[in-house]
Amino acid sequence: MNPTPPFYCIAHAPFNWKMPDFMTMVGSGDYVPETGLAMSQLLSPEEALSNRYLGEYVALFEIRRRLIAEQAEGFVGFCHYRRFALTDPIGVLHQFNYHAHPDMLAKVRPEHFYGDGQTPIVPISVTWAGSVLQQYEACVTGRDLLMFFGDAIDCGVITNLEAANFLSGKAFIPAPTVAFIPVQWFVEIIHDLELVASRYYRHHYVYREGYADRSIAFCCERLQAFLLAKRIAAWGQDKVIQRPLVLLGDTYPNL
Amino acid sequence: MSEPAAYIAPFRDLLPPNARLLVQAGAGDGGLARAYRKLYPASGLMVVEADPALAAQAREYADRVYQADLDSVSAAFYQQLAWADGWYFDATLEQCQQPGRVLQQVGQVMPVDTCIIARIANRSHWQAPETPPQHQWDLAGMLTLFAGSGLRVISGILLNPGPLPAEVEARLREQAGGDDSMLAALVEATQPSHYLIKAVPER
Repeated sequence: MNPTPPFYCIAHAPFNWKMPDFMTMVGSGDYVPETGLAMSQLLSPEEALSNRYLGEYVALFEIRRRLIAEQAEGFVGFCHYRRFALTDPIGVLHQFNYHAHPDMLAKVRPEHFYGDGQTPIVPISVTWAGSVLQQYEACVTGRDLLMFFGDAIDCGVITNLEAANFLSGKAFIPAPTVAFIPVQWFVEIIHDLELVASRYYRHHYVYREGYADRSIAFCCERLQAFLLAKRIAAWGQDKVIQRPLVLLGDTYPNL
Repeated sequence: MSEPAAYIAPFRDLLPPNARLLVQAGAGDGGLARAYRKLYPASGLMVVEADPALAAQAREYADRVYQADLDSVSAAFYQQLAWADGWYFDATLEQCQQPGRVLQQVGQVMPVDTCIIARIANRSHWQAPETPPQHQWDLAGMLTLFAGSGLRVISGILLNPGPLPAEVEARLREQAGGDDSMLAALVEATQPSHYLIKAVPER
């Protein structure tokens, strides 16, 4: 086993704490981290700034290409600068997530991020009061999710039945990017998301004000959650480490 | 040419569903375009054809017709079609002067979810065409052409308009010299009149 599997930490802006050295920092949008990868330097300005509606997925599309070019095998990990899936969560459990002060990150050992290097580590699936579609509509605009899943069907990524069951179900894995998974899962899932996002942008994208303009990223998150859950089920639910996400925040407990 | 009914259905089914815009490279009789439009009435079709008479005919079934030669148009021409959902060549790729260059230019502007579908005549078909196209390839040559143009072939269909005539089969048997696996390979190579190739950008 490679003692330090590839592990990427995505950030869209500077932050005040230090990530472990084994991680490759990834700057999305116009953020250029001190080390690592900056989308604004790797992509055209237009592509880099498409994070306006694609969020972190612009970086994930690029990382997928890099992993293929490097013929990467084994596992790959991802976190956000303030959101992690750890084998041993830190902080205090609050609703579905652990809340921790950034200083607590110093207590986290590398193996808490990637375990034994050959077991998937993923966030828990969260159950909502309403359906996935209702939960989406409560936050942004349901029409976007319906259109996005329609495009996923047209792209051959999911079936009609899968879409119907998922959207009317009550659970999904929030922040499914934050995970340690086989490279093959990542490459396949992100490939499918890029296809659907591309078709959706051409056919159905609608500009929305402010935060809601990241509609494609929100829809990608739901579809990614479905595609990840499908692979977890095939791998064996009991052979996967599923933990509540750890969120960092300056106002969170420092134990 | 094979019977339209025999190839139109599989060709139509390989095209992206419910496209906003499809680009047809070279005019044809419109059979495929009409079959696709029947399934997806809201789809738009643009034909690119250099020959004025054929371009005029294409106006009967296409929403837009560009009278242009894909071999000589500029990169800007391809760029303006970057929003197309797919391109298709119905036995027209082999008529291009530089098919590799045409494929490469299309591939450069295609979004990742789109595709190129091409029906291409099989050079090894047992019956030589009366008017040979500008280029002739066997399956391996087609795959090399697409790969060399930055495209990844994701599926292919053999179009077999009919069984081999007895005398052709006898000739192949003789050629195989009693080797059954060689005979099967020879039949497989010579029977298809065309191949349907679906390719996507290698990105």
